[in-house]
Amino acid sequence: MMREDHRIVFDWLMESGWEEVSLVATGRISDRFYSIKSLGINHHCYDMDPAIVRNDYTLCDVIFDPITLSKNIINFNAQKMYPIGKVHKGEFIIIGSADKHPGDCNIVTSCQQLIDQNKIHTVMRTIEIPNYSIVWGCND
Amino acid sequence: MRYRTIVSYGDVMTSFFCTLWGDKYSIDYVRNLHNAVKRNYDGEFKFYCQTDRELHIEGVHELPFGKYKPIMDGRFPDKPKLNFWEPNCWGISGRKVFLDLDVVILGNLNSIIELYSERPIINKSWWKEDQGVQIDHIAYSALTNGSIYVWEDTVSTKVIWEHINKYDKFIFFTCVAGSDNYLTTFHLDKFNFVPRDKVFSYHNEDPVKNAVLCTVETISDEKEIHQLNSWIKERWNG
Repeated sequence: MMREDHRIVFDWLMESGWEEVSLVATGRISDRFYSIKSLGINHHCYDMDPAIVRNDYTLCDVIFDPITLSKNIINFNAQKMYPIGKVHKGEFIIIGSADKHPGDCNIVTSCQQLIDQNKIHTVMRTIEIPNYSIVWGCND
Repeated sequence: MRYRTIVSYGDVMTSFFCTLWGDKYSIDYVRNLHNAVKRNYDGEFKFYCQTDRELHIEGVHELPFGKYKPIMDGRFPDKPKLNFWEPNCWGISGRKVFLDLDVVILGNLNSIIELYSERPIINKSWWKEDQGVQIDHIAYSALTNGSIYVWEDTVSTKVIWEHINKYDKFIFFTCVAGSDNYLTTFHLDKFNFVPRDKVFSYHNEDPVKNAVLCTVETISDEKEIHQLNSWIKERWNG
């Protein structure tokens, strides 16, 4: 069964009308995300954990490395990185966690925090569920 | 203000550095460290302190903060330590040794400094390795322990400085606990380490016989050196 936060993001992705998307800092995600090409959405994945990456991944840090992402971006782990919206422009779906994992440099406790950090000027959707805040919006 | 370039060759001159800001440590820490270097280093040296205070300690040269100031914003609290990686910073070149103020020198420093061979030397939190502490977290955990650096300006230290300059805003956000998180995450392969038998962490492990250096780093509510009632405080006082 898909995690609740990932299920919400997947549903939003289905609504988005996007034809391409960059899946960033995925960690372990459901295989359903990897099969979205069959739904007409091209994707490429980015993660810096060698244990995660597969053939359709680029092993990198999307903040520090010179990567050009799609105009549509899903960031699965905002709590682990510098705000992606300060480095990349486009339409985002961003998940942030308040779980306080030892590696988290950016504990996310609200959707407003994600909106402010990522300079989101147009907000399509927001939702807060236990431990997770999720925002869909644009900063370009 | 211009600084005279001090060039050293071989063992002619070693430049020792520390840094003092805020109210965590008093000027006594600088004085004791300077005295400890005088007692435990054989060779010609100069002693510098990067600080915003007037120290009035004979033999201690005060240096202004380099590019990175002690801005306390809750992240990367030891930003000014990065200034030491700037090539020829303050016009000083040659063999350089940085020491944290919360170290106690127990033996002859030459036995660490003379291990230098092209790669910078840094201390390692050996106890974390011994105890299997997980160190793969960029934000908080570190394998390096920057209580001592021994280095000269080389191509690899230039790479470190250029990386800092290029990514400083990302680094300061991401490496929450500071310079050791940064060096561990991005530059671990550029360093040699202080040997295991020359250093120990006072609050985290048993003393190592004949160690040269004792680090008294405090992470939570451990006591600082001046608060201890222990042999290590006596050694610190000289």
